[in-house]
Amino acid sequence: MIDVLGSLLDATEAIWGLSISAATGRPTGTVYPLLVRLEQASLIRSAWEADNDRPGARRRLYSLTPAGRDWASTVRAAATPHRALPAPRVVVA
Amino acid sequence: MSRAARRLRHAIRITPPGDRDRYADEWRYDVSSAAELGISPMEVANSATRVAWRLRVRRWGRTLAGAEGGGRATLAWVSVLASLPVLFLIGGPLAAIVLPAAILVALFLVHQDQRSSRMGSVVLLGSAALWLACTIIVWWLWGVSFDAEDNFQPQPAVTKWAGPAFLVGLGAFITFWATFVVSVVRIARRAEST
Repeated sequence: MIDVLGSLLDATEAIWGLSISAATGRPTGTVYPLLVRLEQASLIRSAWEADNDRPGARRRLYSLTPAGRDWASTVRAAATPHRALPAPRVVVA
Repeated sequence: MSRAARRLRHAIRITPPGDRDRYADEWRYDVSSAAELGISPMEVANSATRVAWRLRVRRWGRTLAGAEGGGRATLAWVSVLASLPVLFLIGGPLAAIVLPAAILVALFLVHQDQRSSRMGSVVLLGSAALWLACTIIVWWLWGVSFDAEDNFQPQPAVTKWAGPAFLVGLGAFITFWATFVVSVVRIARRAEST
């Protein structure tokens, strides 16, 4: 989940569900249900792409809501491992 | 028509009608574009099927909880109760699991509805646990009683608790369903007023 949230957090504009799957390497079987749950919890919102040069089906774009952005930042910060302190240098006289 | 497109058509049929406008176009686009991103169209279609089932189960849950209106909730629960004799005819054990399963579903649904009162949830959970405990005790005491009769022994003193345990269990069972019906009616009224 962290990498999916990371994709949404790092995106400068609304992103396509399938591109999240491609960017994270997570199967769509993981990404789709997660997006549905996040949307039902009002943490993300989605909208149809305004300009679509393809006829027929449309692309759905996702972005974090303000509350979702705060939550995702907290979750990612909590999951990020603290950087290990460098090993002390032992100087032998 | 490709296999992925056929699977996707199946997923769209599973999706509740009210959700199809939201998801069908998105999945069609994704299946048609998956290969460009190095993703298997079949994987996308399978994922759509998973989401479709999730949406379908959620819709069943909302209907049973009354969030789709009182009429639909009544119809859904009448269908559950009507299935009992049918399941009993098909196979007794199936009918035996329907009622505990319905209780679990009821508990889950009321818990899911964030507007339901905390007191209602506590009464539901408490009465379900009490009913389950009393049912186990009654079955155990009946077993003890039958064993004593089979061995021509006098009834053990503990078997006198079978009657009270049955009555307490019956009370808990009635309390559970009465509380659940009240919760569903309240959820349905709120859903109909919004």
